[in-house]
Amino acid sequence: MPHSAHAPHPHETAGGSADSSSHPPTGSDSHRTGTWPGSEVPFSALANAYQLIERHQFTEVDRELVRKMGAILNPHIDDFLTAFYVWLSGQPEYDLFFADPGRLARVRSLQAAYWRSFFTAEVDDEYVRYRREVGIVHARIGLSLPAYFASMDKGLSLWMDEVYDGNLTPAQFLACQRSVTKLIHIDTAIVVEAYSQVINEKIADQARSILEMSTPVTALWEDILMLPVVGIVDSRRAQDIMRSVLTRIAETRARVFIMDISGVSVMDTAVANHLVKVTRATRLMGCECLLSGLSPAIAQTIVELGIDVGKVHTRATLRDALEDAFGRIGIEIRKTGEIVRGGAL
Amino acid sequence: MTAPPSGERPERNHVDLTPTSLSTIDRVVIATLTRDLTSAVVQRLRDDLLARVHEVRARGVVFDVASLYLMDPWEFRALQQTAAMVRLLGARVVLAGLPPQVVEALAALDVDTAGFDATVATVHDALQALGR
Repeated sequence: MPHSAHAPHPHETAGGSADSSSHPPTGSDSHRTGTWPGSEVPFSALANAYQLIERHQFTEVDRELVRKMGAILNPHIDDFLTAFYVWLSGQPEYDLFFADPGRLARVRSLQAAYWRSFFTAEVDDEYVRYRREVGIVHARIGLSLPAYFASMDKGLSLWMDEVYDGNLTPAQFLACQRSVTKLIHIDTAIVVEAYSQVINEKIADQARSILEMSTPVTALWEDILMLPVVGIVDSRRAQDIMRSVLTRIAETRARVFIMDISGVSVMDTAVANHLVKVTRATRLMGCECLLSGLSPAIAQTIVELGIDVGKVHTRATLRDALEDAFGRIGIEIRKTGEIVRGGAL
Repeated sequence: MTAPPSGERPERNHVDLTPTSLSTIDRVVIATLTRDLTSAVVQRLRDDLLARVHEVRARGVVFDVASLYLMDPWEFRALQQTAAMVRLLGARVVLAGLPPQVVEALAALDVDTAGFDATVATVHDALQALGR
């Protein structure tokens, strides 16, 4: 399935891949503006046409052989596509991606264009850009690489076993086939590279959004603030927490702040130090900090790492911390014996 | 807080690692220690005890060490660290029934005995110390 339903223009999506692919990758800093540090390789750093030809040793001879094969096969492209789509309709992805007949026709015509360009064997920037777009689209719509590999393999065997008329000498055929395979590998390499690039960007985006999740400091009661800390605590996140907590304490003049860390995924010296720093800061604002949600495993880790949590009040559960907090502000919770049952109609 | 004990504590001749019996009274967990605290026994004690403390939202833990005949500094430190873990879960820790010969040995070796909320003679005293 070298093509899919809609091919977004690469300039909208990939940050300018076509214009930069003719040069070997140089400093890529200009493409990194606004990106998360270390998360992405810009598309300009992906292999360009020249590098691909070198790496795969796709020679002038190969090019001639692919063209020779193309001259034989290309006239039968309709037969090929028909057979290919018969095969494709048996694939599990088919219903998901090609249920719409209009889309199917569109993809089919794109695929005809793809194989025409393939048999020109003209591996230039335009050629690379085109295939990169295929990879990008596949990644966007969630068409898996195994499905793509299977379809390329099916394509190759259809051309060679079904469409090929057997008019070359075995030696000639073997040479042609070798060159065609080489070019298919080049295509696959481009697609996979672009595909992984998109996936990496997705992962980087997710990591960023986790880190940027807000720090919702909530007023739980008069004088009691609460913050559930979820996910990764790094220095940046700790700073966010610190800022929003201190701001809220200043606003509300709360006397107790409960930081619930049951959602913290990793506890190490650095994380503990960040948290202890927050508790120290809140105390300077006249607000006692209770750390709740320590699991037995985290308690063991803290002691085994020799982390000194100093005078921080820690509690196993949020419930205990809340009880403690009520005690500190002089509120007593008791059962009244009255229970509200059911819901009003 | 004390430094972590260095190195592994070798097994003495035990196969059964069940270190203690844990019983719970009114959100106080009583851990009765009956055997040498080797590394494996300490780890098992920590896993079981902390899980119990978490489960019952314990307000206190009593280490009943009256039936231990010997406790060397390594074992004592291991116990101190376990106490620190319990305290992180928000419970107070009382050490009950240190035998005189153990106290004498620890004193002779100048062992730092901090890390417990109280040190008392019997489990009964410990429950009283934990109050309510």
